[in-house]
Amino acid sequence: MVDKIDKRAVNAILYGVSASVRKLFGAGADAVMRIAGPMVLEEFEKQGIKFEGKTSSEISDELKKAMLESGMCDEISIEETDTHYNVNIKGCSFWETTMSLRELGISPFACPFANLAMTLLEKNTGQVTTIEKIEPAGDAASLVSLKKV
Amino acid sequence: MIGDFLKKVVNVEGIQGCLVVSRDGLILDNVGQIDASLTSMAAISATALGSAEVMGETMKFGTLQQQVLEFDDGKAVVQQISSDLLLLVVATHKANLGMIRHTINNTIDDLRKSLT
Repeated sequence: MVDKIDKRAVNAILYGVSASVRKLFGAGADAVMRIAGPMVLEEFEKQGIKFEGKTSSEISDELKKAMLESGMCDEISIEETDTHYNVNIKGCSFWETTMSLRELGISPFACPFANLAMTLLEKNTGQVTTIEKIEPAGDAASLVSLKKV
Repeated sequence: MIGDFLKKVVNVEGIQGCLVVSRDGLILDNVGQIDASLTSMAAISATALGSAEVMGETMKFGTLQQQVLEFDDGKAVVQQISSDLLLLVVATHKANLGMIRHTINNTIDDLRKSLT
Protein backbone atom coordinates (compact mmCIF):
# COMPACT_ATOMS: atom_id res chain seq x y z
CA MET A 1 0.00 0.00 0.00
CA VAL A 2 1.32 3.45 -0.88
CA ASP A 3 2.14 5.83 1.96
CA LYS A 4 1.50 9.03 0.01
CA ILE A 5 -1.40 10.09 -2.18
CA ASP A 6 -1.84 12.81 -4.77
CA LYS A 7 -2.98 15.97 -3.01
CA ARG A 8 -5.41 16.62 -5.87
CA ALA A 9 -7.41 13.63 -4.64
CA VAL A 10 -7.42 14.97 -1.08
CA ASN A 11 -8.50 18.39 -2.36
CA ALA A 12 -11.33 16.86 -4.37
CA ILE A 13 -12.60 14.93 -1.35
CA LEU A 14 -12.28 17.90 1.00
CA TYR A 15 -14.07 20.11 -1.52
CA GLY A 16 -16.93 17.63 -1.95
CA VAL A 17 -17.39 17.10 1.77
CA SER A 18 -17.15 20.83 2.59
CA ALA A 19 -19.53 21.96 -0.15
CA SER A 20 -22.10 19.31 0.72
CA VAL A 21 -21.94 20.03 4.46
CA ARG A 22 -22.54 23.71 3.67
CA LYS A 23 -25.35 22.79 1.30
CA LEU A 24 -27.06 20.61 3.93
CA PHE A 25 -26.48 22.66 7.07
CA GLY A 26 -26.22 26.22 5.74
CA ALA A 27 -25.00 28.54 8.48
CA GLY A 28 -24.92 25.55 10.84
CA ALA A 29 -21.96 24.08 8.92
CA ASP A 30 -19.58 26.02 11.16
CA ALA A 31 -20.94 24.13 14.16
CA VAL A 32 -20.03 20.82 12.50
CA MET A 33 -16.41 21.81 12.84
CA ARG A 34 -16.71 22.30 16.62
CA ILE A 35 -17.43 18.58 16.79
CA ALA A 36 -15.01 17.62 14.01
CA GLY A 37 -12.02 19.45 15.54
CA PRO A 38 -11.69 17.31 18.68
CA MET A 39 -12.28 14.16 16.62
CA VAL A 40 -9.51 15.08 14.17
CA LEU A 41 -7.22 15.77 17.11
CA GLU A 42 -8.11 12.41 18.66
CA GLU A 43 -7.22 10.70 15.39
CA PHE A 44 -3.90 12.54 15.20
CA GLU A 45 -3.12 11.39 18.74
CA LYS A 46 -4.01 7.78 17.88
CA GLN A 47 -1.42 8.02 15.16
CA GLY A 48 1.18 9.18 17.65
CA ILE A 49 1.05 12.91 16.87
CA LYS A 50 0.54 14.56 20.23
CA PHE A 51 0.11 18.23 21.05
CA GLU A 52 1.00 19.02 24.64
CA GLY A 53 1.92 22.72 24.48
CA LYS A 54 0.29 24.83 27.18
CA THR A 55 0.82 28.25 25.62
CA SER A 56 -0.09 29.59 22.20
CA SER A 57 3.61 29.80 21.38
CA GLU A 58 4.23 26.14 22.29
CA ILE A 59 1.11 25.09 20.40
CA SER A 60 2.29 27.11 17.40
CA ASP A 61 5.63 25.25 17.40
CA GLU A 62 4.00 21.82 17.75
CA LEU A 63 1.44 22.57 15.07
CA LYS A 64 4.15 23.77 12.72
CA LYS A 65 6.17 20.60 13.22
CA ALA A 66 3.16 18.32 12.65
CA MET A 67 1.78 20.24 9.66
CA LEU A 68 5.13 20.52 7.90
CA GLU A 69 6.01 16.88 8.49
CA SER A 70 2.66 15.75 7.10
CA GLY A 71 2.95 18.06 4.09
CA MET A 72 -0.18 20.02 4.94
CA CYS A 73 1.56 23.37 4.49
CA ASP A 74 4.98 24.98 4.14
CA GLU A 75 4.66 27.37 7.06
CA ILE A 76 2.25 27.99 9.93
CA SER A 77 2.41 30.20 12.99
CA ILE A 78 0.02 31.40 15.68
CA GLU A 79 0.36 34.96 16.96
CA GLU A 80 -1.57 35.99 20.05
CA THR A 81 -2.99 39.44 20.70
CA ASP A 82 -5.21 40.62 23.56
CA THR A 83 -8.36 39.73 21.66
CA HIS A 84 -7.36 37.27 18.92
CA TYR A 85 -5.12 34.51 17.76
CA ASN A 86 -3.93 35.04 14.19
CA VAL A 87 -2.99 31.87 12.37
CA ASN A 88 -0.79 32.49 9.33
CA ILE A 89 -0.57 29.68 6.80
CA LYS A 90 1.72 29.63 3.78
CA GLY A 91 2.06 27.01 1.08
CA CYS A 92 -1.35 25.53 1.93
CA SER A 93 -1.80 22.07 0.39
CA PHE A 94 -5.57 22.60 0.33
CA TRP A 95 -5.45 25.84 -1.63
CA GLU A 96 -7.36 24.36 -4.58
CA THR A 97 -10.20 23.45 -2.21
CA THR A 98 -10.13 26.92 -0.67
CA MET A 99 -10.35 28.62 -4.07
CA SER A 100 -13.05 26.27 -5.39
CA LEU A 101 -15.18 26.88 -2.30
CA ARG A 102 -14.71 30.63 -2.56
CA GLU A 103 -15.90 30.46 -6.18
CA LEU A 104 -19.15 29.01 -4.79
CA GLY A 105 -19.31 31.80 -2.22
CA ILE A 106 -18.43 29.43 0.62
CA SER A 107 -15.89 30.43 3.24
CA PRO A 108 -13.43 27.57 3.87
CA PHE A 109 -15.08 26.75 7.19
CA ALA A 110 -13.53 23.28 7.26
CA CYS A 111 -9.99 24.70 7.10
CA PRO A 112 -7.98 22.06 9.00
CA PHE A 113 -5.50 24.64 10.28
CA ALA A 114 -8.23 26.85 11.71
CA ASN A 115 -9.99 23.94 13.30
CA LEU A 116 -6.88 22.32 14.72
CA ALA A 117 -5.65 25.64 16.15
CA MET A 118 -9.08 26.39 17.63
CA THR A 119 -9.38 22.91 19.15
CA LEU A 120 -5.85 22.89 20.57
CA LEU A 121 -6.16 26.37 22.07
CA GLU A 122 -9.38 25.39 23.82
CA LYS A 123 -8.14 22.00 24.97
CA ASN A 124 -4.66 23.01 26.09
CA THR A 125 -5.07 26.61 27.26
CA GLY A 126 -8.79 26.73 28.06
CA GLN A 127 -9.30 29.70 25.75
CA VAL A 128 -12.48 29.31 23.72
CA THR A 129 -12.43 31.01 20.33
CA THR A 130 -14.62 31.50 17.32
CA ILE A 131 -13.49 31.83 13.72
CA GLU A 132 -13.91 35.50 12.87
CA LYS A 133 -12.54 35.28 9.34
CA ILE A 134 -10.43 33.22 7.02
CA GLU A 135 -9.00 35.35 4.26
CA PRO A 136 -6.46 34.88 1.48
CA ALA A 137 -3.06 36.38 2.26
CA GLY A 138 -1.21 35.81 -1.00
CA ASP A 139 -0.71 32.78 -3.20
CA ALA A 140 -1.58 29.59 -1.29
CA ALA A 141 -1.57 31.62 1.92
CA SER A 142 -4.32 32.39 4.40
CA LEU A 143 -4.81 34.41 7.53
CA VAL A 144 -7.21 32.89 10.04
CA SER A 145 -8.47 35.21 12.78
CA LEU A 146 -9.69 33.39 15.87
CA LYS A 147 -11.53 35.72 18.22
CA LYS A 148 -11.22 35.01 21.95
CA VAL A 149 -14.63 34.45 23.54
CA MET B 1 -28.56 39.58 31.96
CA ILE B 2 -29.16 36.82 29.39
CA GLY B 3 -29.50 34.42 32.29
CA ASP B 4 -32.47 36.41 33.66
CA PHE B 5 -34.40 35.86 30.44
CA LEU B 6 -33.47 32.21 30.36
CA LYS B 7 -34.69 31.77 33.94
CA LYS B 8 -38.13 33.04 32.90
CA VAL B 9 -38.22 30.32 30.25
CA VAL B 10 -37.14 27.47 32.54
CA ASN B 11 -39.79 28.48 35.07
CA VAL B 12 -42.38 26.97 32.75
CA GLU B 13 -43.47 23.54 33.94
CA GLY B 14 -41.69 20.75 32.13
CA ILE B 15 -38.86 22.81 30.70
CA GLN B 16 -35.57 21.26 31.70
CA GLY B 17 -33.21 23.87 30.41
CA CYS B 18 -32.35 26.32 27.72
CA LEU B 19 -29.24 27.58 26.01
CA VAL B 20 -28.24 30.58 23.96
CA VAL B 21 -25.93 29.30 21.25
CA SER B 22 -23.94 30.99 18.50
CA ARG B 23 -24.51 29.73 14.98
CA ASP B 24 -21.09 28.10 15.05
CA GLY B 25 -22.16 26.02 18.03
CA LEU B 26 -20.67 27.92 20.95
CA ILE B 27 -22.68 28.16 24.20
CA LEU B 28 -23.08 31.76 25.35
CA ASP B 29 -25.24 31.02 28.35
CA ASN B 30 -27.37 28.22 29.77
CA VAL B 31 -29.86 27.70 32.56
CA GLY B 32 -31.45 24.53 33.96
CA GLN B 33 -30.52 20.87 33.91
CA ILE B 34 -30.28 19.02 30.63
CA ASP B 35 -29.21 15.40 30.83
CA ALA B 36 -26.91 15.49 27.80
CA SER B 37 -23.60 16.99 26.71
CA LEU B 38 -24.32 20.70 26.35
CA THR B 39 -21.42 21.08 23.93
CA SER B 40 -22.97 18.47 21.65
CA MET B 41 -26.46 19.91 22.08
CA ALA B 42 -25.21 23.35 21.09
CA ALA B 43 -23.58 22.09 17.89
CA ILE B 44 -26.55 19.86 17.06
CA SER B 45 -29.06 22.68 17.53
CA ALA B 46 -27.00 24.95 15.27
CA THR B 47 -26.84 22.33 12.53
CA ALA B 48 -30.51 21.41 12.99
CA LEU B 49 -31.56 25.03 12.58
CA GLY B 50 -29.19 25.36 9.63
CA SER B 51 -30.60 22.36 7.78
CA ALA B 52 -34.18 23.50 8.47
CA GLU B 53 -33.31 26.93 7.05
CA VAL B 54 -31.87 25.29 3.95
CA MET B 55 -35.11 23.32 3.60
CA GLY B 56 -37.11 26.54 3.84
CA GLU B 57 -34.93 28.23 1.23
CA THR B 58 -35.23 25.23 -1.07
CA MET B 59 -39.01 25.30 -0.77
CA LYS B 60 -39.06 29.12 -0.98
CA PHE B 61 -40.77 29.35 2.41
CA GLY B 62 -38.86 32.44 3.52
CA THR B 63 -37.11 32.92 6.83
CA LEU B 64 -37.30 30.21 9.48
CA GLN B 65 -38.55 31.48 12.82
CA GLN B 66 -38.77 28.43 14.98
CA GLN B 67 -38.18 24.68 14.86
CA VAL B 68 -40.28 22.36 17.03
CA LEU B 69 -39.11 18.82 17.66
CA GLU B 70 -41.29 16.23 19.39
CA PHE B 71 -39.84 12.92 20.52
CA ASP B 72 -41.27 9.99 22.47
CA ASP B 73 -39.61 11.19 25.65
CA GLY B 74 -39.13 14.90 25.21
CA LYS B 75 -39.54 18.08 23.26
CA ALA B 76 -37.14 20.67 21.94
CA VAL B 77 -37.69 24.08 20.39
CA VAL B 78 -34.98 25.88 18.45
CA GLN B 79 -35.71 29.57 18.04
CA GLN B 80 -33.82 31.98 15.82
CA ILE B 81 -32.63 34.94 17.91
CA SER B 82 -30.61 36.65 15.19
CA SER B 83 -28.50 35.70 12.20
CA ASP B 84 -25.73 34.83 14.68
CA LEU B 85 -27.60 33.34 17.62
CA LEU B 86 -30.27 30.80 18.51
CA LEU B 87 -32.19 29.72 21.57
CA LEU B 88 -32.56 26.02 22.37
CA VAL B 89 -35.28 25.01 24.82
CA VAL B 90 -35.40 21.42 26.05
CA ALA B 91 -38.48 20.01 27.82
CA THR B 92 -39.99 16.76 29.06
CA HIS B 93 -42.59 15.02 26.91
CA LYS B 94 -45.27 16.18 29.37
CA ALA B 95 -44.49 19.87 28.89
CA ASN B 96 -47.18 21.89 27.18
CA LEU B 97 -45.86 22.89 23.77
CA GLY B 98 -48.24 25.83 23.51
CA MET B 99 -46.97 27.20 26.81
CA ILE B 100 -43.36 26.73 25.74
CA ARG B 101 -43.95 28.62 22.51
CA HIS B 102 -45.98 31.32 24.28
CA THR B 103 -43.17 31.86 26.79
CA ILE B 104 -40.54 31.99 24.05
CA ASN B 105 -42.61 34.46 22.04
CA ASN B 106 -43.08 36.66 25.12
CA THR B 107 -39.39 36.57 25.96
CA ILE B 108 -37.60 36.61 22.63
CA ASP B 109 -37.85 40.34 21.91
CA ASP B 110 -36.35 41.26 25.28
CA LEU B 111 -33.66 38.63 24.78
CA ARG B 112 -32.85 40.08 21.36
CA LYS B 113 -32.61 43.59 22.81
CA SER B 114 -30.29 42.42 25.58
CA LEU B 115 -27.99 40.79 23.05
CA THR B 116 -27.67 43.75 20.68
